[in-house]
Amino acid sequence: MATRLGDWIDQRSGWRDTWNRVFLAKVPAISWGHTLGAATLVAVVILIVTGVLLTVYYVASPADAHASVQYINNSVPFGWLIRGLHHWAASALVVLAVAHLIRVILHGAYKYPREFTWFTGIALLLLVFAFGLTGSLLPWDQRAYWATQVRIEIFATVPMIGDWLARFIQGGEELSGLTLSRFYAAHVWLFPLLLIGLVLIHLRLVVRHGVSARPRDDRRRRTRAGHL
Amino acid sequence: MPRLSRRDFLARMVGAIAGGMAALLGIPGAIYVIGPSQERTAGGWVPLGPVEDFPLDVPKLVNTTVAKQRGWVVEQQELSVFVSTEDGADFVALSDRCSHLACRVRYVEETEETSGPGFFCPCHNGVFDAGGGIVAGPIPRPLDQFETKVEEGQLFVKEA
Repeated sequence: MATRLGDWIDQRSGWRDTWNRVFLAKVPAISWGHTLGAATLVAVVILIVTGVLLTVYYVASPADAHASVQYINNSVPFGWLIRGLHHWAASALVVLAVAHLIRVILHGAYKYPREFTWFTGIALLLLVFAFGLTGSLLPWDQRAYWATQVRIEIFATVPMIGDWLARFIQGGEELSGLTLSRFYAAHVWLFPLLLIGLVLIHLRLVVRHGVSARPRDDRRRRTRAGHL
Repeated sequence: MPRLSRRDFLARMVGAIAGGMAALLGIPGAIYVIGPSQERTAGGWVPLGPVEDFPLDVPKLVNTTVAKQRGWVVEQQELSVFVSTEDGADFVALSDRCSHLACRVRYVEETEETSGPGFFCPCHNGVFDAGGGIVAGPIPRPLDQFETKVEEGQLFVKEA
């Protein structure tokens, strides 16, 4: 039954071809380090799912933000789990993304023809930091408020445009409900759209180029051929 | 059952683990969304005023508010009750919400159908008699009636 349905859809979409190319591709000798990209993606998926769930109860206004987070934590069934997963997956994402980056550097996987994959990866890492900046204000507690205050002061030290930039980021002269509102808009609309777009490009390029062979394997091959 | 190849076995294991992880997140997620939506809170007694304030001949519409905890917000919800009494001791308290689609009904001294007093709903021409019973229109059931009590000269209704 499932096979017949799969056939029916395959004849009209060719999904099996794509599936095989993505999941049954031949890969060179790889290490556990090669799983870090996929692990990063899992963290992203968890963050998207739990993030969508959090918006069911979260309200981004100075009067409601903190109370709604407390409500999620204490009153909604599994609210503690959903919020906890979002919080810890966010931290894990930063760690995994950086570990993935280090793996790519150590294996020289950023080199031709994968430079563009690398650039999208760097853009994604910066985006992750932007998610962290905007997301950490949303609980609207003392820590969120004062930590964001410090970060905005750091933006204000940018030469020439610092003042303008700080006012732009906080939506006015000081950190206020306007800041909360625009951080929320960026965190749940702008950044996720950018993230999904960039992740799709990043993955498309990984599928296109395949997994890079480890430098060590290359050297062994060259040595055998007498080139080193 | 045919023997599984090592490759198929591993593929199925990966699928099973992925499915398990999806369930681990999906089931709590579904419960979280359903959340408190199905909770029913028991209504409390709401004071409507001293008993002598209610006239004997026509129902009196009492508008009051009830504090309700909704999520993290305490909301003041409107409660409107038609109170009628024949002797100043026994009270009938009817909801002003039509039993059809919850429009507000109004008291009329004479309905076309009964030539007596009743309640009229302007949305779909629903007509109730003075006791809230069905007279005409698409009304599925009589007007909701509140439980009443009198304590220290005050009339209370039990809110549903």
